[in-house]
Amino acid sequence: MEMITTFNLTKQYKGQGGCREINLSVPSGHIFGLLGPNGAGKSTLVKTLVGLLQPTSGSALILGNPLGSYKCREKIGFLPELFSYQKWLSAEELLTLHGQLYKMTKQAIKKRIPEVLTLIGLTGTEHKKVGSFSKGMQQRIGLACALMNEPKLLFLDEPTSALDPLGRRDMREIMLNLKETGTTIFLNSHLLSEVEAVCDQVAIINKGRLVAVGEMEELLTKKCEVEIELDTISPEFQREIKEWGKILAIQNNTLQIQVADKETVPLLAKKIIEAGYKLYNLHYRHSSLEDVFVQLVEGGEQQDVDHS
Amino acid sequence: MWTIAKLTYQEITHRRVFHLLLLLTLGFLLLYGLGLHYAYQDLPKDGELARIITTEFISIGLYLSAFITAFLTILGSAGIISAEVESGIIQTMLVKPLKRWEIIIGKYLGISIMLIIYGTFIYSAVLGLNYYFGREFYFLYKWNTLKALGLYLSIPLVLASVTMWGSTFLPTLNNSVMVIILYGISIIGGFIERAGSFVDKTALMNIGIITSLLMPVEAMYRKMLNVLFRSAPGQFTIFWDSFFSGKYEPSKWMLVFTVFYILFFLWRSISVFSKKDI
Ligand SMILES: Nc1ncnc2c1ncn2[C@@H]1O[C@H](COP(=O)(O)OP(=O)(O)OP(=O)(O)O)[C@@H](O)[C@H]1O
Ligand SMILES: [Mg+2]
Repeated sequence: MEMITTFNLTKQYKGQGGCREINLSVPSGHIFGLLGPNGAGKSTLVKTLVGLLQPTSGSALILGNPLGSYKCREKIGFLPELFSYQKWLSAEELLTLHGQLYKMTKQAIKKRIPEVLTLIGLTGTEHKKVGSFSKGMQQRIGLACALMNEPKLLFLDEPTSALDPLGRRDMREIMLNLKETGTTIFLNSHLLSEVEAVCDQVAIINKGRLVAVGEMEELLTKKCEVEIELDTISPEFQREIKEWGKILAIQNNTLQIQVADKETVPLLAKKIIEAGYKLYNLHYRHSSLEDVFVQLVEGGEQQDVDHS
Repeated sequence: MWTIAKLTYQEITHRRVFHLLLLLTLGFLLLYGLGLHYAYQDLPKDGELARIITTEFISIGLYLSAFITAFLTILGSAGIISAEVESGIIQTMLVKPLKRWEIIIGKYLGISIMLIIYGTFIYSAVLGLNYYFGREFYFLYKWNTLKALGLYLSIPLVLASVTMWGSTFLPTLNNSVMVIILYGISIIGGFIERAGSFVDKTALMNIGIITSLLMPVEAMYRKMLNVLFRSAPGQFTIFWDSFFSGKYEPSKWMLVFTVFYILFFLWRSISVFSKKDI
C-alpha cells in the first residue's frame, strides 16, 4: 500500500520558491529520503504534506486520505525543522499534552511515556522543564512527541540538525528500529551519509523540482566505473574498449571507464581475457550518493545557465 | 478543544506579564482601599449625599479596574496565535487530529476563563471595599450587581475576540498596538457621546455611536454602571452623571450587537486561520 502519493503537487509562495509539480509515491514500510540543497523546497513539501501549507495546485493522498483531512492525522507523526515546544512544561507534561492531542486514552499515554523516553534516550528527565533542555535534547523530545501515537507514517525534517555524532548514530538506529516495526518514514535531509545509511528510496529535489526518484540501489548504480590494470595500455586496446563505455582516465597501466551497469562488468572482464590481454586488476566502483547528488544538482544548474 | 483551552489558560498564567499585572492589581486595590478608608471617614454615612458619593467611588474603582483588565486582555492575547506561529510551537499542534477552529475556540475559551476569574475578582473587590468602608449599600439591588458583572466581563471578552482576530495575521507587537488604538477610540468616542448628550448635539452623539459600533467596550461599560445603579423595583433611583460614568444608557440592541460583534470576530479568526500557511 502507498502511504503517500502526490499528483503534480505544487506549493509556491506568491508565485515563487517552494516546490513544483511533485509526483512521488512512498510505499509502506520504507524509509524515504528527500535530498536537496538549501532552499530546494524540502521543508515546503513536507509542510504541505502534513497540512501546514495549502497547496497552490495539485493534490496528494496521505494514508489514502486527501490532503487536509484530519482524521488520519491520528496515525501521523511530525518533527518540524524549527522545533519549538512549550518551555514551561516538563518533559512528562509535554508528552501528555501531545498524547491528549492525539486523542489517546489516559492509560495509553501513561504507558507510552516511559517507552518513548527510553527510545530517544531521555529517561530520568521526566520532571525537567523543556525550557532547560539543550537544543539536541529538545530535538529528541520533539521526536518523542511525534512518536507518542506510534505513528504509521513519520515525517522528519532534518531530525539530526541539532544532534551530536552519537546522537546522529542513535537517530539512525531509531529510524531503522521503527522501520522494523512497520513505520514508514519520510526523511528530509541534506546529509548524504545519513540518507545513504538508512533510506530504501530517495528523491532528489533541486530548485523546487524533483530531479531523480528511485530505489537507492538503482540510483547509485546509475553510474558505474571500472578500473582496469593491464601490463600495458595499447592504443589498440583503447580503441576496442571504447565500445563499452566512456574512457574517464588513463594513467600508466590503468584505465578508468564508465560502463552502462553492473552486469556489464563480468562481460567486459571476459572480453579482455579472451582478447589475450594480461589483466592484473579489475576494480568495480559504483558511485556514492554524493557523486549522484553533485552531478544532478550541478547538472541542473548547468542546464539553467544554458537556458538563459 | 478543551486540551487547548487548558493549555492556553496555563500558558497565560505562567507568563511574567501576568504576574506583574497581578501585583499591579494588588497595588491598585491597596491604594483604592486606603483612599476609601480616609474618604469615607469624613463623609456622611447615610442619606442622599452618601449614596451619590458611593456611586461615584464605585464608578471610579470600576473604571480603573476595567482599564487594568483591558490591558491584561490585550497583553495576554496579542500573541495568542502569532507568537506561536513565529516560534513554531504551533506546527506540531496543527498536525494533530484536530481542526483549526478547535484551536481558535479552545484558545478563546482558555483566555476567557482566565479573564472571567480575574474580572470577577477585581469587580467583587471594588464593590467589597466600598461596602467595607462605606456600608451604604442598600440601594444596590443584588440581582443588578450580577447583571452588571456580566456586562463588566463583556469588556475583556470583546477585546479578546478582536485581539484573537488580529493575532491570526498581525505580528504580536503590531496587534497590541492595533487593539490599544481601537480601545482608545472607543473611550474617546464615549466622551464625545457623553458631551453630546450634555449639550444636546446629535452630531456628537452620532460620532459616539459610530465609535461604539467600531469597538463597543465603552458602551458596555456605561451600560454596566447604569444597570448597577438602577434601583430595585419600587425604589428611588439615584445616579449621578460624571466623568467616569455617564447617564446615557446604551440600548439593549447595543448588547445584542456586542454579542454578534464577538461572534463575528471569532468567525473571522477561524476563517483567516484556517487558510493560513504556517
Ligand atoms: N514563507 C516563505 N515565504 C516565501 N518564500 C519562502 C518561504 N518559505 C520558503 N520559501 C522559499 O521556498 C524555497 C524552498 O524553501 P524550503 O524551506 O522548502 O527549502 P529547504 O529545502 O527546506 O531548505 P533547507 O535545506 O535550508 O531547510 C526557498 O527558495 C525559499 O526562499
Ligand atoms: Mg528545510
